Amino acid sequence: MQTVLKFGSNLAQGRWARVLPVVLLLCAWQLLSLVLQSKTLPAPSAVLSTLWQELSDGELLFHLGMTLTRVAISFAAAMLIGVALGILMGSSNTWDRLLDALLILALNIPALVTIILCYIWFGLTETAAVIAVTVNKIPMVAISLREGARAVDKKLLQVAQVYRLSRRDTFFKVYLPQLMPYLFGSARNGLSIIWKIVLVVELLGRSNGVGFQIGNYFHFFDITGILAYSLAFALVVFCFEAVLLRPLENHLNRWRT
Amino acid sequence: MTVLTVDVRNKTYANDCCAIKALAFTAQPGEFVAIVGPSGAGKSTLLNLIAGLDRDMQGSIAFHRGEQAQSAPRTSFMFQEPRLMPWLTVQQNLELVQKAQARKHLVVALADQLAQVGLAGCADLFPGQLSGGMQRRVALLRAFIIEPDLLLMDEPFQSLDAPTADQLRVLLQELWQRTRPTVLFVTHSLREAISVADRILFLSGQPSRVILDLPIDLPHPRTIEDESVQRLHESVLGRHPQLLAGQITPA
Repeated sequence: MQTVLKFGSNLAQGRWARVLPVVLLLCAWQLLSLVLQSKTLPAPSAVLSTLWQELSDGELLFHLGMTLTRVAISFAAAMLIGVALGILMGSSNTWDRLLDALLILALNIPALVTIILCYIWFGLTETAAVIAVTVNKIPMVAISLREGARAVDKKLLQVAQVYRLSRRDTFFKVYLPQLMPYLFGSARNGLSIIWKIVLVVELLGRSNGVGFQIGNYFHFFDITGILAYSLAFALVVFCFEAVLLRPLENHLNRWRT
Repeated sequence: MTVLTVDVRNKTYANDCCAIKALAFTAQPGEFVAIVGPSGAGKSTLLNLIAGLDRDMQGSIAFHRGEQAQSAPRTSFMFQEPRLMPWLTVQQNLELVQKAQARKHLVVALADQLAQVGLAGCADLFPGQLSGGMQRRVALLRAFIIEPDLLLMDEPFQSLDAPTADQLRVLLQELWQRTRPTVLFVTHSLREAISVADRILFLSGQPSRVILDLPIDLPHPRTIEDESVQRLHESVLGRHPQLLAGQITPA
């Protein structure tokens, strides 16, 4: 029993700790699909082979590329505007009071409403799609960054003031590092939310992208296709996290020892 | 060199509590002035006013160079806590306060300066990897590295063990004798004040003003254990037993 526990904790500490739960989930899924033998729950092996097939005839890469471009543009725009807004509201009481009601309102407008309104006002265009997604995400970034800006250590800003640091140095070396946890927080859940909204936008008014494809598969009741496309995007997110976000975060957190 | 003239007529806190009233003194260039007063006497408030961190008061704080009035001189501030940027290495923390052109011709010297304050080989460490005493050394070096005209210190060696605080006070006197900035050193410990300063200003309780201006005529460097420091400490308290409580009633 003890050796099993020890084996378990060794596993949990090693590289396998991230992979193991996913493998277990896949096994459970495969078993369940074998037992149920239902058309609505294809086995993971079937999903993987569809994924491979779509990948090799280039179809998937094209739609995934379109979706990722939309995600990237709206993500960048929403982060930039949201961060600026959050810092403004977190550091100035006047702006906070002026914008607070609008922020609450924007935060609670359903994504679907924004999307439909954008399509009606700006037409079924790429710009309308990106604006709709961005507008949905901005308030969430702003809310989180406002908390960060409120928690900024005034004592360190006094140091910057006494030693007459330039505005640039004060912002990038004294102010911004304190907002890092909030930035990473909103980048992570920003990415997940934006990709979900992008799919809806594509489903409603675009003729390409993962959302459009999933809409097609829905018409044909092709669950395997839907799952294959979802899986493709999940893999992209895993890569993004492992290759970019986590290393960057570790690098910026070197000082926390 | 800069003459500092402080004349705070009235400073009240946000809660209408009167912190400082009619507090005035002049510090000569290169003078090492300690400010001693009871807890809550507005000592930190006074330093914040002089540093320009707080501008809400009636009165004036002026700097003169000869006859000419001067805008705020180059000022350093050593706070109660080291206040280093935890995400910057020791070297980056020091470079942060240096002007861009000074940075260039100091690239080599920075390692030497670190060695002189007992921080050899610490340039690439983060503040969190240093002991409290070593963090103070970095903060002290940061205060001197910009070669200030005026150095404000707000109980900088508080919460250190006695030997470490002693070492830092000796280091402070060494660094000060090299470039001779005007120093205002706030403390609640009379012994500490006598061991570093040329002159001590005693403050009353709230609302605070100067109740005694005492010159200290002892050679530098001194430590708290020096017999001359001990003797002076006893004789001052013998003459004014209530001095540290902010009252001047001759015994």
